[in-house]
Order: sequence, then C-alpha cells, then structure tokens
Amino acid sequence: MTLSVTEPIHKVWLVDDDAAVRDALRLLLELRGLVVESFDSAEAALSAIGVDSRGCVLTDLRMPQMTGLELMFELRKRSIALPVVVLTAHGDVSTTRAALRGGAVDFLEKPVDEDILADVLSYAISEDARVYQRRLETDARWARIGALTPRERQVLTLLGRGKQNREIAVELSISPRTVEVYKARMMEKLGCDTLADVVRMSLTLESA
Amino acid sequence: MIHQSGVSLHPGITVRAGPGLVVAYLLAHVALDSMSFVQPVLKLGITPLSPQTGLALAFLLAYPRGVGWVVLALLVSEVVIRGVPSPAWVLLLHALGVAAVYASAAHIMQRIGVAGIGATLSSTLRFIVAAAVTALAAALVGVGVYTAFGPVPQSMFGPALARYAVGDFNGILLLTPLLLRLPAAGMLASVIRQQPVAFTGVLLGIVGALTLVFLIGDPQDLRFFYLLFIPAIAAALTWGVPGFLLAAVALQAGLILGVQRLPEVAPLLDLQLLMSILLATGLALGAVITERHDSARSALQREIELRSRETSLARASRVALTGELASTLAHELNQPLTALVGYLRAGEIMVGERHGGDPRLAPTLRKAANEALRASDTLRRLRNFYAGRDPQLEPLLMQPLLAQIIDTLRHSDRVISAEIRVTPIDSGMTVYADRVFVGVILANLLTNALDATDGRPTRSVEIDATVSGGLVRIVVDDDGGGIPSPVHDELFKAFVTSKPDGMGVGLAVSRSLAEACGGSLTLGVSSLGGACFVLSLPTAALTGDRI
Repeated sequence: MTLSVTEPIHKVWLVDDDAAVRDALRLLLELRGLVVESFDSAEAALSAIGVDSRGCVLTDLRMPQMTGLELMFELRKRSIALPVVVLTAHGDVSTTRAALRGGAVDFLEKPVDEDILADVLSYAISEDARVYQRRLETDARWARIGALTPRERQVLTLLGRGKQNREIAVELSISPRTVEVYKARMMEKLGCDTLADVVRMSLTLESA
Repeated sequence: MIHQSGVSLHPGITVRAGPGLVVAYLLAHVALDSMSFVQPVLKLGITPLSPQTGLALAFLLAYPRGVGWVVLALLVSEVVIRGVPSPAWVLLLHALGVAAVYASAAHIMQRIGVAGIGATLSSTLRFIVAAAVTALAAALVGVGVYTAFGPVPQSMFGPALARYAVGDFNGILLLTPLLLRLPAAGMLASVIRQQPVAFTGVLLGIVGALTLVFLIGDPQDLRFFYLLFIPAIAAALTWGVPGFLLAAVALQAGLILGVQRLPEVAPLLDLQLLMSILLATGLALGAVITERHDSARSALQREIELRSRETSLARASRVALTGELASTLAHELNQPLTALVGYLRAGEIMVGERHGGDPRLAPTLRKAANEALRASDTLRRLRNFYAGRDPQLEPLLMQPLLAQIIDTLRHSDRVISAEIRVTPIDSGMTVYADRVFVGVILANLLTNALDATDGRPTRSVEIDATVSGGLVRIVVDDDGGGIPSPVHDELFKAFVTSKPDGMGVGLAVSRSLAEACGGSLTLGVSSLGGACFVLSLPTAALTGDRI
C-alpha cells in the first residue's frame, strides 16, 4: 500500500519579541538548513499559522502581551497540532511543568546551545511530519472507504471482526459466492492485497 | 522593673504554705510584735504600731488557709512578750476574733482586687480604705474582748480603740504592700545602687528630719514631724511605691527608737497618727509615680516593638525587591546575550564554510561566544541567589493583619494627615498566603496610595475586603492623582514608574509575591478618583499544582 504525498514546507515558526534574538536565531537556524519564519508576537504568529502549517513552533515564554504558553494553548484550541518548543530566559520549575504538561515538546533556557536546539527542532519537525503522515494515511483510507457500497462496507466490517465468508453470508442473507464477489470488489477499491490490510482498514472504520 | 510582682504572691493566686513559710511567719510575727511593743495600754498588746498585723495580712493574702497559724502567732506573741496578762481563754477569744477579722479582710481584699497594690493608683486607694476598715474592725473586736472580759476598764475603751486601730492601720500600710511586692522591693535595691546620690540624699533626709523631730525641736511639739514628709516623698517620687515603703520603714524604725530612748517626747500615738497620714499619702503618691513609670515603659516597649516590626517589614520588602531586580536584570541582559551567542555561532559557521582568511577567526568567534555564555551563567547564578524564599502559605486572618500593617504605617510620619478608612470586614475572613509577602504587598500598596495623596488638601485612602469565589479581594483605593494612562500597560513591569524618585520595582515585586501565593494583583477602577489596586488571594489551600 503506497500513498503519494505532496510534501509541504517544514518551517520553524519562530516567535520572540526581541528583534536581535529573533534575527540571530533565524540566521543560525537557516545556516543549519532550516526554513524559518519569524514573528515579533504570539498574535502575529497566530494570524499566520494554520491547520496546514508544517514544522514546529519555537517561542519565547515571556512576551508583553500573549505569552508563549498562551500561544501554545491557543494553537491547541484551534486544533493546530504543531509541536511547540518553548525558549525562555527564566527557567523556573512551575512554568516548565505547565509547559510540558500542556504538550510542549521541550523547554530550553536562553542562551541555548545551538546543537541542542537543532536536535530538538529536527525531532519536533520529524514528529510533526510523522503525525501529519499518519493523518494523511487515515484521510486516504477514509476516502477509499467512502467509495464502498453499503454491502461492501458491511463485508469489510464483518471481515474485520474475524468472520468467515460462510458466516458473513448467513448474517447478510446472501450466498457465499456473492460474499466472495463483494470482498474482491471491496479489496480492489481499498487497494488491499492481503487480509491483514483489510483488517487494518476495518480498524479505521471501527475507530470512527 | 518596679512593677513586677512576685509570682507566688500575686493576689488572686494563692500559694501552698510550706513548713518553712509558716515557721518564718511565726518567728517574724513575734519579732515584729516585740520590736513594736512600745507604750502599750496596760501591758496588753495594744500599741500605736502593729507591724505584725501587716505581716499577718500579707500571710493570709498569700495563704488564705493560714488562719490557724495567725491565731497561734497571736497567742505565742502574747505569752512570749507579755507573759499572761489576762486569763488564757480571754487571750484565745481575742486571738480568734482578731484573726477572723484579718482573714475576712484578706478575703475581701482578694475580691476587690488589690492585685495592683502599689502599681496602680486605684487599687492602692482601695487598699488604703480596706486597711482602714480592717484596722477599725480589728480594734473593735480586740479592744471589745479585752473590755468585756478582760483587764481594760470601760473608761479606757476609747483611747485603747484609737491606739489599736492606728497601730493596725500603720502596720498594714507599712508591711503588707512591702511583703506582697517583695520581689519588686528586691529589684529596687539594685536600682538604688545605681543612684547613690539620690539614695544618700534620702537617707540623710531621714536622719536629719528625725534629729530635728527628736533632738532640736521641742519633743512635745510635733511641728517638726512634717519634715519627715520630705525624704519620704522624695523616695516616693524617685522610686515609686517600693522606694517609699523602704523609706517609711526606716522612718518608722527611727520613730520607735526615738520614743523608746528619749525621755519626754510626745506620745507615740500622736506620732503614729501623723505617720498614718504620711503612709497613706506616700503610698498614693508612689502609686501614681509607679503607674506613670509603667505606662511610660510600656509605651517605650510598644515603640520598640513597632520599630522592629517596621524594620522587619522593610527588610522583607528589600529582599523581595532585590530578588525581582536580579530576576529582571537577568532577563533583560540575557536577551542580548542570547542574540550575541547566536550571531557569534552563526559567524563561526559562515567562516568555516569559506576557506582562506585568517585561520584563527573561527576559534576566536567560538571563544567570544563562550565568554557571552559565561556572562549569562553568572547572571543565572545571581538570579538564583536572589530568587528569594519559597512562600510559606498559612491561613491568615485579614482583620488583625490589616490592622497591624496600618498601625506600622501610622507610626511612620507620612500618614500624619492622611485618613485611612478600612471598611469593616468579617472578623473570620481568612486568606491562605505568606504572612510576610502579604505584608510587603499591602505595605507597598498603602505607601503608594499615601505618596499619591501627599500634598493634597484632602487625603484619603480606603481599604475594602470581600470574599467571592474562593478568593479574597482586597481593594486599596486613594484620591490621589491616579495612574497616567500611558503607564497602564506597563505598570507592573520592573523599572516603570511615574514617581520622580521611584525605581519602579514596587508593583512588579508585589505582583510577583501575589502570584507566588497563588493570587494576583491588578489595577482596578478607583471610586475616589485616584488609583485603585485589587489584590486577590485564595481563601483556602490550593489543591494540586497551579499553572
């Protein structure tokens, strides 16, 4: 089973109110081959980041209006699952805990070692890509499942529950041969080669 | 120092008399009676001075169950000093009657509260009146028994009564307070040692006055007696009641000696009548002085207490302030350092990509970056050092806390013309916070309010506290100039101030402290036209972690 995915640009969405910090980090990260988009406030970042944005957010904690933590919670509220790395000059325990519990990938203290920063960011970006990939696959599965007729869908569900062709025939009051036909058509539509693929697809259906 | 009464002899609290105390009492009773057995009526124990009565009363005040011992002491005295001048049963009847009067007197004195004998004027006056009544009652009973059943003829009743009453009265005034306040008198000794000139003066005054009374003046003429008032009153004025009592004892001893040793002096009774007046006057005067000393000392103590409270608040405030200062400084400097490190590392990478040029450039950039990191590390350590302590959260009653803070501020002179009104708050209102932190925050808010109203025709500051939704909201409002709106947004940032000589850390510190207690500090809307701040603090312990 292969899925063709058009790769969106993985960016580091950098948010810091200090212009020099912003500029220096941007330069440093770009030299390391990352694509950086920087903002001077959480509000500005929020207006640019959407559900389709890829990569990860690197934000300062203390900013005049909205803080880095508030930005993170706001992103989650908007169902934007972009990983967040928090950068701060004040690394106190309680904010760290709150940040990590709120789903931040990591919490780094300024001035940050650029090797560690690069590691953390590439981990965050790959994590985002992984999550995104999984979401794409799920979406694709759903698209295929959507193409099934009601009968084919029933056969898929029952196969997923481990039923034999004969049992399915009895349950749906059709002949085993007809079940075979539905099964073949369904597997073709879903692009499944093995029964294992069918079961995986049915799990997507069950999880809905 | 003068005021402290003996622990065990505090009227109202009685002691258990051990055998030592009883024996000491008996011996002292007999000794005093014997010493003062001067110019008696018909060789009976009716003398113009009965110090043993004062002793008996002090004994009974400390040990109300000791009546039996008093009866015994009275009998033993009669037998030892005077033989058996009348039938034994008359002596017994006399002893029983008089002891009963003393016991009742001791009981009544306890009831009317003579705890402050010699310490306050009112209880001293009560004591003097009680002593007069006791003396008269004892005289009526004692002389009555001797007249009805014993040797005193009817015609002698009047003079004997006077002699008996005056003797008891003087005995009580002289010895009871002295004995009850023995520790105070003991402490006085050390005070007197530090004032040798005054002490010598009083002593010389006593000797001189006695000399005048007995040797220079006409012994029958008592006009010089009044000279005795001078040293006695000097002692009362200098050392209060205990000092006066010691002087009075010396005077009394002098009088007895004079009467016994010198021929043809005035009858002791006349002297003793004058002595009664001297004793009553001196005691009352001494009580006034002692009372004044005590109130001056307690005012001083209060002053010291306030000062130390003030300094401890100021210290806590300074610590919090330094912490916030260090934290802000670290943050503000850390930003450019971060940028610096970033630029230097970026430069290093750029140089590394390009060949040629000075090969020392890349390592130099690396070294520069390391130095910037070192500076940042120093800042971090500085911040951690001044980070201040963790809040110690405990339930605090708002009412006394507010009263204490206002009290401390009132003490400083900036409050003189300002009016601080506190809306009456529920006495049970409690916040769950750090005592020192809340003190610093409120003192800071009130100081700001007072500074803001300074120099205005009317100065008023209002404090109100209400409870809602698990939070106590403490509102501090003033009618000063208010906060200029450009400052509003940055009000709680460090180094932002509208005061010419302010550093702008007070509110930043206060907010940090409030947040450390799980509360908040915000700008409110003033109803007085000035600035209004709202401090919210949790009413109870927060459960779980807070974000």
